Amino acid sequence: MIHLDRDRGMVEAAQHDPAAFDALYRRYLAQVYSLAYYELGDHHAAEDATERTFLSALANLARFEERARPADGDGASTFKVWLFQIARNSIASQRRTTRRTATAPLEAATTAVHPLDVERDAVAREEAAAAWQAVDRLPADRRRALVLRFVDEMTTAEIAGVLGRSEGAVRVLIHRGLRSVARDLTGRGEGRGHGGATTG
Amino acid sequence: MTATRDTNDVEALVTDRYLESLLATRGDATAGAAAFGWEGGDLDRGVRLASLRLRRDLPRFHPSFRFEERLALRLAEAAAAMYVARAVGSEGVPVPIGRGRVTDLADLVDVSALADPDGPAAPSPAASRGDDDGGAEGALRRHARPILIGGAVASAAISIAGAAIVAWRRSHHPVSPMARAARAAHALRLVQPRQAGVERPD
Repeated sequence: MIHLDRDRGMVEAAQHDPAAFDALYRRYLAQVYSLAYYELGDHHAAEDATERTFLSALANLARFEERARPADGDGASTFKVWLFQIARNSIASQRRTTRRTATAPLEAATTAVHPLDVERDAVAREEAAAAWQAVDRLPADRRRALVLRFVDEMTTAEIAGVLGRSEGAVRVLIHRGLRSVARDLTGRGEGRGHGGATTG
Repeated sequence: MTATRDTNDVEALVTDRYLESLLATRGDATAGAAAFGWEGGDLDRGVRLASLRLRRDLPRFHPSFRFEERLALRLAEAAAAMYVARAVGSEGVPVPIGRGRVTDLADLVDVSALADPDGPAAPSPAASRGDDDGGAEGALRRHARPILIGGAVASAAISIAGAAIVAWRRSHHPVSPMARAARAAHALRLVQPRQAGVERPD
């Protein structure tokens, strides 16, 4: 088996010296937190889930085995997939104790984009809110796949690893999710190009 | 039915390819298309616009600096606890002394509760040690503070030696010139007021 994990050096350092886990923590903190925030819709619940994720990862790091394949590409990280599997479980556990509130991410997503241009800022806020609402209305598996793809910028293979599905199934999930979002935005009269959205 | 499924798979593949180019260039669709030599012409227009919108409007959030540093500190403490556990495993014997500060990561996170049958193997460290007994005794054992026997003995020996040094110093007067001068000055200061006939105020 050829090892391609891009986090290999940091993972080995952390397995040898647990204090070195800090580098992995800093690298993935925002991604894990973002997934938790989009999933749970609450700042404090997302922090709790993030905390549980990293503590659990540190505690079990010695058991982690790198399993990157050549087909995963140069940027593959099985550690990242492993970490997000833990995050997914932590979020599921957190959700059992926290009622999901879909409105919270809207507040964060609609912070001032153009602070000097009030009108543009208002439009940007409205569009961001519409996009998030369209995603939020999706079934959980499609929403999760889209967040992992667009927010965490994972590859299809990585998402498949996190969600425990085949790559083909993930591609279909994302495609159907995007079609649903497109229908939702079109229904709001937003079907035409937006904010520099070059159609290519 | 099969034809429909094949069509869906092909469309999903085309979408996936488009997203690869889009996300590789941080949302600059033109640059992405140029880099990949493909502009997503076969892609459904609605899907393409939705992709651009989500790329632009779904930000990545960062937790507060305060939370980041607090968790970093907690991870550092947990890492230090792991060091202690390793040292105990190789050189000493853990001795439970009442309920102390949590040092075992199994106390911090119930890993078994997070385990996913389809996910990665993440058994509880406590379970792997055979500490899966429940009840008060098990809880007490889980919260026990491990120490190094050798370290405790060394610490006690240092304390005894320190007490002996203090006792010896109190029973022996120093012989250095500076110490003699200091002692003479101290004695003089005690005697001087009486010699001068000055009364100490009560």
